Amino acid sequence: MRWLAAVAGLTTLVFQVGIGPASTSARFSAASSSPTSGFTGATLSPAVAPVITPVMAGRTIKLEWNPVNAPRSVAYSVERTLVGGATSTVCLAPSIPIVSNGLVACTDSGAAPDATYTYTELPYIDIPGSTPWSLPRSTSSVPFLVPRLSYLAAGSDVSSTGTSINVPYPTGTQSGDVLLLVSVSGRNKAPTTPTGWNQLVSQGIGGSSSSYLFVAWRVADAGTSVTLDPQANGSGASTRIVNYGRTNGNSATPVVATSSVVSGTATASTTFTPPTNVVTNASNAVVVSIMATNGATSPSLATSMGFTLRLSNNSTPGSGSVSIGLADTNVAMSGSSVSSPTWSQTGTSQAWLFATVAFR
Amino acid sequence: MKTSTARFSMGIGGGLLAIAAMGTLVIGSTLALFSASETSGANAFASGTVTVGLGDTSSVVCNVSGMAPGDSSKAAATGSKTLDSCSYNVKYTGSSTAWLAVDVAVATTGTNLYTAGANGLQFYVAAGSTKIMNGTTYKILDGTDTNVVSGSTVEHILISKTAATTNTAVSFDIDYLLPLLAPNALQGGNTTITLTFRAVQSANQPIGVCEAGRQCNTITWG
Repeated sequence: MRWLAAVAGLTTLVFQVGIGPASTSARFSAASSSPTSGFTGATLSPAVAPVITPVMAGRTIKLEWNPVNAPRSVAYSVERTLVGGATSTVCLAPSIPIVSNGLVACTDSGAAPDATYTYTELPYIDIPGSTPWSLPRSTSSVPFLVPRLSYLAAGSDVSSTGTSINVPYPTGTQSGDVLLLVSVSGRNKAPTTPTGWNQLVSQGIGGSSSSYLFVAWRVADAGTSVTLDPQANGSGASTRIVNYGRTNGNSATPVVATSSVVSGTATASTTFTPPTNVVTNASNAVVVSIMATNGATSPSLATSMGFTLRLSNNSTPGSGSVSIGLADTNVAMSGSSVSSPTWSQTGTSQAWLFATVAFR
Repeated sequence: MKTSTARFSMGIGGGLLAIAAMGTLVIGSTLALFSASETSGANAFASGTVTVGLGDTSSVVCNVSGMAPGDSSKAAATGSKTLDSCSYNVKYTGSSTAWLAVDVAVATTGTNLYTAGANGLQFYVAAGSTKIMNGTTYKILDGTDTNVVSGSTVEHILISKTAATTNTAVSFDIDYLLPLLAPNALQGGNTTITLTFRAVQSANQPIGVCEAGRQCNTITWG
């Protein structure tokens, strides 16, 4: 009986080791996990597409905005929308947007004068053949009226005491542009208007502030210069030609866009605002504010009133100094009274000569 | 009859004598008389081991940022093939023979670069010639391609039908591709991949119908 019990016990042991529940639920095993590898997709920064600022650059519209960054090259889809009208893509090859001086810029060379546009841009990662990864399109720029005329350049200053000076047209002048002949002398005497030119202002001051401002204009011809006697004698005169070029697509012959040119003189002061506002008589006109003194420093705009300073110069062409300032703004509506900017001079204050004209 | 009686008498007498002798021996024994003993040699039992360790070559952990459509690692099927591949180098170090397998875990936090589709991030995981994951799929036991689902670990993809022995090295290569047609919605997305190298004793559990490169859930993995 004891043997039988012992054999039965051994059988039970074998069963447990060989085929019992414990043997089927566990095996010798081991495991080891790898470090985790991570993958992150590119993003564009900032997360909101910057707004375009349109500005005139020569005869075309320059569009500028802050760049968007990404791990790869970023391109931009730029659209122009005619206010109340259609949308089209601009800044296409070969004039695609490029980064310059920290800004992205391109040129809209197809904009039409007198039209008002808004612009948007959509940045995207530029990978050929890909579904572009992009930001939502920017909000629209402020409406931009394409001017008929735009400041292009001021020609070389001819500072001389001569009686027959040759004043060159600015580089890039094209037939049909508006040319302004501006001469400031230290002698209170009027020059004779050259042939083919139209006098706008001929204004002088005597005494200690003795000076003279002469302004004439013409539609540019095929010439390259004009001859003038500034009547300056030993005082000398500073004379130059300023070009307001026709924007691309503008084939209209420019005209004066005010029924009365504003001009006059004023006593010496540090700052000066022409007391009479020019009133335009046509839409989309460029208004030009000109001032001159026989001061020894270059003037500036103290309060621009929307004018952009184009020219600020001082020279000593003869026995004395003369200074000149020129600024402009574009005015959309005909009949607008254009608030004058405030000019400023430093050093010993001199009497002011001024003129405000408009063209379209 | 006598003889038989004598025999009987002798038999009885001899038996008594024998009993007496035995009684004498027993009595003598307790009284520390002549004696001897013998002990067997020790029987030893030691189990085999199943262990894994790092391989002899360093692994490459990927931390790829700024991926753009078309980016891929050097051994990917298509794409730029300019980015570094990842690797996980391991070694079976146990003394017992073992079956080897790998688990694959794809995961994300936030926007997922991996979509389990053709336009999302693709992974190409292999152990030598054995493909573990091909793009977005792995093979189940019967060889059917099945999507790897992000956030759910795919377990026990067999590496070889030959049991591994001590110091069997395994190198997992992970290549990847973000297709050119990856949609804009994947911008800034992220994905991770983690492999788990497994070994289990091969003794007493035949591999059966399992095949290398397929999920093997018919044996016990621990």
